[in-house]
Amino acid sequence: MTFLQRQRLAYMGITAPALAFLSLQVLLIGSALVSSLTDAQGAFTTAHLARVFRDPLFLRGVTYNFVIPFLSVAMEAVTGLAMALWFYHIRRGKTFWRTLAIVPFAVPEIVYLLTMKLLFRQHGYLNSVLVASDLTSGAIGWLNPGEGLVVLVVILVDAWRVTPLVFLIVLAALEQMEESTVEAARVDGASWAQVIRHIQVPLVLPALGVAVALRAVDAFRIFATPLVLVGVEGLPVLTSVAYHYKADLNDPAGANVVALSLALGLVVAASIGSFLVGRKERMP
Amino acid sequence: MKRSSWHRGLTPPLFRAITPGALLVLAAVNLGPIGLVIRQAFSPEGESATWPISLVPQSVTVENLTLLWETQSLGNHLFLSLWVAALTTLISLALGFPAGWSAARLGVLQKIATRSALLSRILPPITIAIPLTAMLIPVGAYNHPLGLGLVVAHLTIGIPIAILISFAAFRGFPREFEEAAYVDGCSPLGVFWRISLPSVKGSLASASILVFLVSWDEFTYALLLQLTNRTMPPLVYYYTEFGQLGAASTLAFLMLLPAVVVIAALQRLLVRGVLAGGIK
Repeated sequence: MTFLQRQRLAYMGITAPALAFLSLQVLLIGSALVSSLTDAQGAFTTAHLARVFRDPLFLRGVTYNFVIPFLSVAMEAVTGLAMALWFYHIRRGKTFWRTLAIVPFAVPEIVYLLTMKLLFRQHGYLNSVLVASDLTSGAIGWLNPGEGLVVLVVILVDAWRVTPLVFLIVLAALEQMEESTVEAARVDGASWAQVIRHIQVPLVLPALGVAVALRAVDAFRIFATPLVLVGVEGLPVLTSVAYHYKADLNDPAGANVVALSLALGLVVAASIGSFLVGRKERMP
Repeated sequence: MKRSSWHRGLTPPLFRAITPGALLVLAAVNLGPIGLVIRQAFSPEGESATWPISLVPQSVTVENLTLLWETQSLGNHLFLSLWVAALTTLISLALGFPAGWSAARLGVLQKIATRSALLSRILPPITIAIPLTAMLIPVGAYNHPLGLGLVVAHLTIGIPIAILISFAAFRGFPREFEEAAYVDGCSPLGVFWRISLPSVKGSLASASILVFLVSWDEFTYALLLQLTNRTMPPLVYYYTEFGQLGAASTLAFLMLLPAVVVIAALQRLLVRGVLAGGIK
């Protein structure tokens, strides 16, 4: 065996365990697929599909699984960009303030959600402060199931936790830019609005795109935020509907149908996304 | 004189006007709620039912903590969380770093390894968790007292992280050093162990912190796979669901302690530019 062959074998050999492990997921998805298409006797059936696809809870889950991620990612992009443009100018105590800005992302998700529950629940701190200071006459139902307000609160809570991620990526791009670019524009008499619109934003747009793509994948998998704040039936998304089928209805086949629908949607969306990006990059 | 006017020209006037106030608002929004969790953790459970609830505690006590410790075997849950996170970290790095190194050195593997790592990032945990439950029950690893099933689940997140981080690190490490070792008669595995791995110690450290905390924070798999032998995140969820907000806050406070490490780690990320310059 030549040296190069030996080297190649070593590369393959030490990669194998990790890849074997990751392919376990393919096996699991395969078994989920089988479970969602067979009955207790192992015969082919579409009964699970029919049951789930007619379930109003599933249909509401599909709707919210589009609405919440879209609005949440849009909010993250705008807020993250605005914060990056603002923090670009913060020089004194830079590290301290940046650390402060990423706190929601740094604390464990469940801890962050508990803080939001303490804040927004009916007899929570926000309502207490509002009522005590006579700003409202009674408690506001921030988390009342099935209302428009709760959707807004969930989007806000979800977006605020991950805005730091977008913020950090955009800020890094902004700081890679030569400071003299901005300086030159200012000397030539450009206003700050013009500097932001014609220089800073176009230059950080690719980074913002990366951040949004990264976030979009996570956003469509939203689970804990609506579950902890409102519960499954109050504001269903596909992940929590799948959890409900498994844990509350003891219907693993139905749960697999719901979870696979989401996975399929995500893989298709990610493929279309990477295809579009790839085509754009190939253009002159 | 001229210099100061230059400086003024480079800072928007609006920025100077709003920054102090806006930073205070940011501090209140990001730290305030955490303060409330700590306040809730160290006041009697009965206080969370008062209306309107006061921002400052009426009395301070550690009864939530002692109650959880004595009646709910909090020690076991804490140990399980730490153990699962530690085991996940160890195995993820042991499998992921060799894979990342090979991927950085061999074109064929680069595509396979990075793509499968990315695909694992796209799949929703719930899609894996439901069939995994069915697979773990027959082998007795479902709701395992040592969380073995949960470790398997967490590895599907940990290994991709280790692969992606180590791939980036090894790609930045000059091949010439490895080639020199080969010329001197070192075997491929010897090169990995003696030359390449020691040169990416920084990435090894950040990957281990990251994987540890991802496992420590992980909620979905833990909720589905550990029905009664719970790790900390589902435990916080259950107490929140049952309206025992004092107990939930106490657990959350304990979960926060390792998160302080995250903030320190992310702080390094903020000065990454400086670090990147140091390698060259």
